[in-house]
Amino acid sequence: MRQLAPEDVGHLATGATFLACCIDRTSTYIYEEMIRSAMSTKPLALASIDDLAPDDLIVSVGMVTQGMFPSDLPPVGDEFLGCLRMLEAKLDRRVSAVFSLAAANMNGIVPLLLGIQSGLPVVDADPMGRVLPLISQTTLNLGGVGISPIAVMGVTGEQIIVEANNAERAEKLVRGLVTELGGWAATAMYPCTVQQMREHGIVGSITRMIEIGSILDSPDSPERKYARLSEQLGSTRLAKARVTELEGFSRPTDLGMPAQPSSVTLVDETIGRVIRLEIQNEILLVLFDGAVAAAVPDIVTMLDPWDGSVVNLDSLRVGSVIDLVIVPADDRWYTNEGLRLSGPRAFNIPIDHPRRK
Amino acid sequence: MMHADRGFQFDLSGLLEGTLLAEIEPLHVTSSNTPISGVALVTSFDAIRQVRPDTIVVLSAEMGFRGWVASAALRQAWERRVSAVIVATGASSNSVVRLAQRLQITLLATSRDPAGLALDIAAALGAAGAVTDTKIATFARKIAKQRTVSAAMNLISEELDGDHVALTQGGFILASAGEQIESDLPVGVEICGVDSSAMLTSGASRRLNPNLIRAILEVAAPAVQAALLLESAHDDSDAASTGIIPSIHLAMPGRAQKLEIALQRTLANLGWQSDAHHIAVWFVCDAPADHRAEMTAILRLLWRRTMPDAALAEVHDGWLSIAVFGSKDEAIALPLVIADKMGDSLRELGLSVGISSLRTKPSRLVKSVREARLAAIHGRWKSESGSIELFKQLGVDVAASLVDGDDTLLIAELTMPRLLAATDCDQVLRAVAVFLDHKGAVIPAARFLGVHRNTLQGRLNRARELGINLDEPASLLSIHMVVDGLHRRLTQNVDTGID
Repeated sequence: MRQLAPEDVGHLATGATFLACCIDRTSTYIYEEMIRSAMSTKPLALASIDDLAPDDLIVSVGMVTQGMFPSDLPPVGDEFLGCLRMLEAKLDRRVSAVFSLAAANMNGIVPLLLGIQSGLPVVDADPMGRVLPLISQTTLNLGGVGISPIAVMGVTGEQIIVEANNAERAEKLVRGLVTELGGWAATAMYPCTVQQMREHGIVGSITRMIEIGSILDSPDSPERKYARLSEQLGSTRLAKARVTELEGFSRPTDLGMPAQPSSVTLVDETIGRVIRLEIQNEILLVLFDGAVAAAVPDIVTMLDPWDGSVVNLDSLRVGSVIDLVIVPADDRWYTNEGLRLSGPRAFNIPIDHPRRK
Repeated sequence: MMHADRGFQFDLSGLLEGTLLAEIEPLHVTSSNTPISGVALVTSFDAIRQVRPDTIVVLSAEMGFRGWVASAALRQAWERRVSAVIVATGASSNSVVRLAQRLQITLLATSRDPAGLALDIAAALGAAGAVTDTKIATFARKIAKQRTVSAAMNLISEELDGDHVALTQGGFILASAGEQIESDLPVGVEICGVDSSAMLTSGASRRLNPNLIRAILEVAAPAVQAALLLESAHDDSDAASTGIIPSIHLAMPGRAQKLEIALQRTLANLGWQSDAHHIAVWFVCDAPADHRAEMTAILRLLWRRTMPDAALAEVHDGWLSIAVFGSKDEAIALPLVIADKMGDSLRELGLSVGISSLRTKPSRLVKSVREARLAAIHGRWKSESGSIELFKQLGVDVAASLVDGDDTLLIAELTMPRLLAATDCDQVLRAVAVFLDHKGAVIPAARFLGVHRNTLQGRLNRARELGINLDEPASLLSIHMVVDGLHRRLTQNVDTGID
């Protein structure tokens, strides 16, 4: 178990943003600042899977959003702690450590705040290895680990425990609650043992985010950063492209689906290909001249070609030039069962992933 | 809906100019001539992957109206070479139009119910097909009335909007009509004959649907075949009196004294003019012809361009024509005319031509025919494809060409086995041939060969050792003919069959 330093938190925030290509980075920035400030008085421990006993109880914590960002409706600050206590009360057992619901975006960093608040270590593992829009889209779910009970707490202080038979049903219930709670809610779910996480989780994902951040925050040239990322993650730069059209952000979606579907159209700067990004919280689909170039669960992200920094979707403008980068997800996501849960068809996109057998 | 002047083709312009125009907004049109052979209402991407080329794809409401659906559908449609994609008006953003421009595929938008629109397009296509069938039926009636190949070809070209059509046989164009254009995809149908087949082809310009061109050619093929056979029958009929001339003397053996009178009477009955200048022309193949009927058709075409009024008859070992002239000067120019108009073709076809002397009396026709045949055989004997031989320039030299090459070889094998088996056979043969060519004079023969006279003498002695009797005057002519023929074969690298 190692103590995290403030610069680790900064790198982690950068890595979390890189792996998510989030619409709004403000929330991550706010949490990063709060955590770094709190670390001056309280320690923060990162526990590897081997630092914990196999039977220790661990739970995921994460923010579930439905059209509203915490930066627009700031939290009181006790939401995650409230969720943790609800689960402990429900399970009648003390939780030994917490882990990220998703090792990317805002949810990659919020467990650190809870770690400081509760004094619990943060597990160096998660059930996505990236961020996926749905709480049912986890390797723990793939491995048969139950999502319930789920503790939900909104900014109003209202607390709900959800018991659902399966993760898909839980998804709809939680999203309905989140809408009612104001557009976002803190959650704690997937109570499991360390051994279950070892078998069905993605181990080392917090460290990976810190390493990605240390590359991107370094003074290296963009080309050098891309080379190091490629070596570390197997990433590929798909294209350098210029934004020509932004669509949507307000189309309705089905209940149980992430909000904010939108599209970005770009033109390849070198050979003129028309590139289209389909987005629902994350970039789900990349079409090159109408042909599928990448699709969820591939991690698609955008970097500024001038300095290699992460570009978030909200800052895109017509005329912006970006480097489009793809990172392969964990191998489990490319199995038939993994693709059924997280592939394009899981988002009502009726096409097969290029890697589907 | 349909352009009759473009060959009944239903194309994109037909769709856009029709009553459906008000319901379809063209977002990007690549070519108004894009052919349309069908319409498909698709509800999934898998369905697009199964549509046939030249189809209009209408995206159904079930596909949704998200922009990426239109983009991905355009890509799939482009890969299937469809004519156009019709999307809901709401699904057509600038980026989709830009992609259509980049892929060079027609993109249309409609605010109508996609299923209803697809049904209306299908109905329009069906109506166009019915009109096309009617037009083709009318064309079939017209083409059936044509009695000559050229008239039939002109009508076909007219039906194909002036496009080039050709009737070819064995690589030669028998007849053609229309403007010749370069075409990557010529359309052709086969016309089967009794002994050979011809091809009726069109250039397949991009103005016309290849399927339509094929349909028209297939409808026209029987009429063209009939006209071709009719012309061939006319040619045979015209050539009948020519074709029997070589056989007349065979039909009257042993009647030499009466031949003159008999010939005059027979030829008069056959319709030959009296006191006209005539020349017999005989064509022979340098090698045995496998497709004589095909060759006859081609040769008749070539000959018709050279001597339009002289029929060409297919005879036992070649083709014969009697060219009749009004003046002597005109007749004298015949060899030059043949060389000018047929020279290249004769070489390509491997044909030699023999030309008789100029005569006026019909009773001399048989003699003219024999001269022409001998001259043609001499041309073949020289092994120069396309040679044009005039009998009067050959004289008695023709005799050498009458010796059959295979017979010469057989005689040599039977009478000179030791010579043929000798390792220095070539050298000895050449020495004997040149010695006899120089009438038995050693010194000029040695000079011709570029060797000392003693060397030549030694080679002649060697020939004597191998059984060639050069000292018996009665045998020398025969030996000369055999050795000359054998030597010619060896120097021409002809397979002698000698082991």
